[in-house]
Amino acid sequence: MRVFHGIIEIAGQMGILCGALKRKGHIAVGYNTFQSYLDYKEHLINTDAFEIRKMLKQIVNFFDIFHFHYGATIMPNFEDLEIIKNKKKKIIMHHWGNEIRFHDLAMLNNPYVYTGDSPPNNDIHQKLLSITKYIDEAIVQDYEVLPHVANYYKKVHIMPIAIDIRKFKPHYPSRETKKPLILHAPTNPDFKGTAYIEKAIEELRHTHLFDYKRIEKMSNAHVVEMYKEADIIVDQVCCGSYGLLSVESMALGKPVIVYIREDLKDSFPSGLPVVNGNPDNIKQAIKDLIESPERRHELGVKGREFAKKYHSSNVVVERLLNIYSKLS
Amino acid sequence: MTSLEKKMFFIPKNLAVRKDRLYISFNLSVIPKDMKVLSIQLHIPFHNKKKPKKTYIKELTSDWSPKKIRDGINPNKSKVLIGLQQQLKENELIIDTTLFKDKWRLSNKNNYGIYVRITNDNLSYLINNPPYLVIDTI
Repeated sequence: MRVFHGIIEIAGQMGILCGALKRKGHIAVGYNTFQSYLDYKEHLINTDAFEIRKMLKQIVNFFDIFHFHYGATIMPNFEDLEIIKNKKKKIIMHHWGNEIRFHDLAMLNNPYVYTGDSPPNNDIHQKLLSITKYIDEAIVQDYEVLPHVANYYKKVHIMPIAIDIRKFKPHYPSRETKKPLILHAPTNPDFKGTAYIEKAIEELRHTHLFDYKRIEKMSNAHVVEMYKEADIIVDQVCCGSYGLLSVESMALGKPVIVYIREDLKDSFPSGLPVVNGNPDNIKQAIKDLIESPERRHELGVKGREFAKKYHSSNVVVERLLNIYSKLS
Repeated sequence: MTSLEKKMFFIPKNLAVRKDRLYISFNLSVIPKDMKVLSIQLHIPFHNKKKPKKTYIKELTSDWSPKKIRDGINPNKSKVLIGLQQQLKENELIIDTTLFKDKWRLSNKNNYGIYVRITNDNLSYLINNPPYLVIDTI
């Protein structure tokens, strides 16, 4: 099977999925036109929109399955979708969040959510109408994203974020540490709730002994190296669901603080080993972990197991192949 | 099942076919600099079961486009390149093009690709089933 992934790499997922598909013996290529300081390159061809458009004919003729990400396709105005469809090739769209998070819908169950990076509702609506003229099925990573696209597609699959677990050797926090290191890596501070986190950090400095590092503008590979030293990782406290940073942190055996919406808790596999922290209780969540090295270690061990069981690309790719096999 | 994890796949940047002649180029300048290329194999879908009697391969040394080829304007070519190993595997003719490793990867400006002639075979089907490169990397 020949699988095209493109054309925007978000959180390294195109590359990770392509790598997993290649391990299963398939030809898979991720074409990425969005290069950032995160510097994703494995299993990718980092190109630009102009170059990839020139190759459209070859791409359409060569690949059997087209797996698009982030609501973007090769040509402007989704002109390529009709061509691909006419060739009877399989197509699926993978939505990640900001590109389809309707402002009012996002706030329905979440007073903290930040949607400043999402387009206006009507733009999202029009875009989804254009896409679903040709694409019947989509993938999202969880039930937080699902309602934003559920009414547009014939079928929406839930498939968890994937990581290459082989690259994450556990570094469990020591039970002996008296001055824990807290890390927070905001790719988007407003979305992650960095201001709330750092306010809590400043208040806790008066009463507790710890170090805090904010990591920004570094390649993903470099960031992962820094996580290894951490005793506590604070991910996103506004969105209501967990993202790649949480998964990578769990894989490294680190305790994670992240906000999981009350109504979504049961939608995740049971025993999600994270500390639930939102802007209203983030100070308490951090304080509890600073004061309990034993709990940090215990969460780290459980997190590693959880990441291995549900987020390893070897597990996720089986679900992906099953989705591909049923596409019409 | 064989893992393809260590391989990269490239489809043509430019492709043109005229009767038994194939003009093809690839952009390998996008391979990350810290990656080492070990081999480059050109896979050409082949619909005859027998190995072709004669295959000529030349390097293209001037600019071309599919439209120009259709109009009969051909690019300059090198002499026939000898020493390129070929094998026929599961309906694909595989040609070892590793010798172009540096030029295709590091000298994108002078990379016009290659010309492959498979005598007495109409290669027009390659437009809908394009050749591709399989690159071994570490």
